[in-house]
Amino acid sequence: MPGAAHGGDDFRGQARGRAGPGAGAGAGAGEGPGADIFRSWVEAHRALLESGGLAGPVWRQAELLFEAWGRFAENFAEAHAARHGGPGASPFDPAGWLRPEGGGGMSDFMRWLEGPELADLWGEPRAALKGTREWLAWLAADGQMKAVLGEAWIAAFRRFVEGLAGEGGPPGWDAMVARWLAIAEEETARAYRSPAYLAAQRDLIAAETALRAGLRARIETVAELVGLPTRAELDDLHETLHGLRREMRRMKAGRGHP
Amino acid sequence: MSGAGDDAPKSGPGPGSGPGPMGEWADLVRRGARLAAAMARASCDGVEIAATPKREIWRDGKISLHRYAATRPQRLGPMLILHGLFGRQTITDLEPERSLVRRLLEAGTDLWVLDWGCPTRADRCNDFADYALYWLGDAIEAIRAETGAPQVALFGICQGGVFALCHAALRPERVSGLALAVTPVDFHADAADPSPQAGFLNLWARNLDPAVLDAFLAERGLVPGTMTGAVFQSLTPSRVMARYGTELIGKADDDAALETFLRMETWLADRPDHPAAAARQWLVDLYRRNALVAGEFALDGEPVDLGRIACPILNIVAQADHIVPPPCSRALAGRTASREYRLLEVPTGHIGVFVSEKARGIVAPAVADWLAGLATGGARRAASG
Repeated sequence: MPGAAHGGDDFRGQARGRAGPGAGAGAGAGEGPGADIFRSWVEAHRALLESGGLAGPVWRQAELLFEAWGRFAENFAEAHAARHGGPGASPFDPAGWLRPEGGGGMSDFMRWLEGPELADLWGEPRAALKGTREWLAWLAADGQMKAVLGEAWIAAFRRFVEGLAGEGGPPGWDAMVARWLAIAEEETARAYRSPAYLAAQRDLIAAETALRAGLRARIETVAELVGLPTRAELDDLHETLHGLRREMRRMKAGRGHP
Repeated sequence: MSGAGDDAPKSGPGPGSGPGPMGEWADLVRRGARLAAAMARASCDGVEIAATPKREIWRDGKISLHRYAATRPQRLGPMLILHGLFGRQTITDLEPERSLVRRLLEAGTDLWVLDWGCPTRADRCNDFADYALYWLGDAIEAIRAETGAPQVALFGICQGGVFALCHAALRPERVSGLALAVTPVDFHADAADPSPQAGFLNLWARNLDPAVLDAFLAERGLVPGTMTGAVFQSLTPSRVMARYGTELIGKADDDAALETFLRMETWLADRPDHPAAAARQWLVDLYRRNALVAGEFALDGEPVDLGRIACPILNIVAQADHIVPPPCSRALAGRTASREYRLLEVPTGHIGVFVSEKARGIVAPAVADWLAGLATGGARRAASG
């Protein structure tokens, strides 16, 4: 990147030299495939600026600005990194983005999204991320519940098969079904009282409720956008009606009615 | 759903029949084919339940009060059947041969039933005060106006029994007697039930964080009937497997039994949604906090004091109830001021009290006998008063 600001005539020559077929394959060490495009863009702007009488001073001002910004970013990143330590902790340190922990810059981005809410910034990404997390939490809770119940059914089946194996031959159909049902009922009852089931039940209801609430909030945003009545508005209306009916009831009760 | 047609596969000996697993398997296949033919002939739309004639006397929106047509001279009652919000009132009149309603009518009861209808999200703010105090009060007033009776006997079923208890405690002057069936009173008494299959609802309700429950109810506005149905089914998963497996196959050769089965399915499928505000009181105040026996339950600010109930009580408990553990119902004894308290233990499950063969000769005669006692006791009290 700094090379773009200091390119001069050599820079222009490199860009021209790679403009033909197979130019991407000739990218040097440390240069990505987008470097030629960027250089072309800079070249175009430079040509534009050089077409006027003030092109030289303007270009120089731009170079100074870029240099100043670079120094500021480096100093800021250094100070920030000194305060927070680990890679990815400095949002203006491009080097941090390239580290595995930096997630290509996403770790900082995610931290901002999950941090204090800003009134007019990243509202939609924040909501989308929250919804995705709630959906994943519901999937996990659902899986947890299925695992607990699955364990109970597997235990029942094991008991049933072991019981059959200990006998000379299979009992009659009705006896076999009755035995299976009795074992299944015992094992599921045991599971229903287990701490694992109770925890899974709590998690599943909490996750399902959070997911539904998030979805409804998103849908209501869309409804408001296109001028449709929302569930919250209807709920509010019904609550008001119920309150009025209750007031009427109390007034009637004051006159000796229910 | 009439009799099996001639084209239906017949059960009985045939090729492959005989002792041993292969013979049983062949018989199972034959019964399965016969069941499939019977099911194909049956139309679920044609399965009629709650067919006993009745007339609507009063209505407020979705809620309606009906009076059953008398089949004998009415010497007992009036008595109002009162269900909860989790199941429809049609269970007490499932089919003519298994109708508690019909048997009570034949005993000469002036019988009424309150239908809570099917709440929608618009009803999410309805709470116990709406149902147990105001609408039930309206219904009792309508019965009094129609019959001229000074008081009405209440027959509360499950949650409807809690409604009846609350009303009898808050407006005792209106209630001549209180019959309760499978009604929870002490919601923490499930610990005293020795059955490992009973009390899951109590345990699960206590397991949930009230804040999460509040968020759940606020978000949904209702507890969907499909959800409560699924929860009830999950209490005994192997029984559900048996219901659609061996039990159903076993009805292949019995059209009447299959018809009863389909009527029960019709009732099970007709499960209303439960308004959120009432559900919160049910799950948090009662199941979790046990507020009724703690004397901390209130309807629209009026505390429900069970000690104010002095009318005769008939408490019907299902001994094999896995939904309301029997100790939760038996706990009513000694908590009221009633000097005429009867306990009737029925050897069935929660629903079996109303539809099973075992309960057929027990429940209706006991209720009729209890109502007869109310009539004579009322006359005695009037004479002495």
